[in-house]
Amino acid sequence: MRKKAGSAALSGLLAALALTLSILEGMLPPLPGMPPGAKLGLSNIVMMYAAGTLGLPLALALAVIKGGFALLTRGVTAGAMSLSGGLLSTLCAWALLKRTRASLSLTGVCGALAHNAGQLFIALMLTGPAVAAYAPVLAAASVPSGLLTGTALKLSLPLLRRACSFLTGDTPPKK
Amino acid sequence: MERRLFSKKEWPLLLIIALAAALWLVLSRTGPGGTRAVVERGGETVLTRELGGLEAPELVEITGENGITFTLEFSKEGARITAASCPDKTCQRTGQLTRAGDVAVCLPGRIALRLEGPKTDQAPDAETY
Repeated sequence: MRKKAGSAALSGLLAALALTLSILEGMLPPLPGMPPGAKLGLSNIVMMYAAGTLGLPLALALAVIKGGFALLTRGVTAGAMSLSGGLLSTLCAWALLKRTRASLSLTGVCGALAHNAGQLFIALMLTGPAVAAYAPVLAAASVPSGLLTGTALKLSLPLLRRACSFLTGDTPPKK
Repeated sequence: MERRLFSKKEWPLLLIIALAAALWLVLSRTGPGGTRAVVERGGETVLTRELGGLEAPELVEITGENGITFTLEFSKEGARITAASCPDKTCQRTGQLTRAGDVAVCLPGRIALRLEGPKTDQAPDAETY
């Protein structure tokens, strides 16, 4: 019983974290060196952790909540972009973390690539094939941003693990 | 979830991804100079300009989807979106487009401004002024 309630609480906590990071990222000024429109994808830190601990259905539900939040606050276009990117990157992170022994940096980079691919697909649907010219820029931006989110996840893992064990009652695995 | 940040075995794969992305970016930036600007709304061409024939920079206002308005500047040097009423301003920040294949996009307005290179299969007098 406690485990179920704890898992629900953890999902809620991670959803709140992902949304907060999204808002925070929206408030940041455009980053020098990053192409216009490309973001760091800070909420991917949380989505990767969710994919690695909560399992695929709950992690995808988090991506849907994030997309719904973007829809409500920033409109249909942003909602569709967030949803497609979020679902694809979460699926990618889950596959790499649960089905392989991929490191966090590789997971971060592949997650960022998947996120951008998902968003580009929606952009293509909405605006037409001209958007495809943006693909090389987004692919290049995915590498540093993916390495950054992978590193941020590695650094925040002890804290997230402590929160996870507190909520679910699991003892944290020893190193 | 216990993972390493980097794994020795994955270095070649990460390196290949990084190099491929960098190479793709470089190749996409080495196209010929753009000679014709094309404006698309929802994938349909709404405006074209032959840039070579412009004596002075020309400003054009267009309206995209959701009532978003844009000011476009066409000149011999290229084309850019100088103002957009969309809060994101992503297309505006893209700056001046100079090469064929360069594109500035506003997703909420469904507007794409792109440059095309010289075409050999079209009559040069098929221009819209």
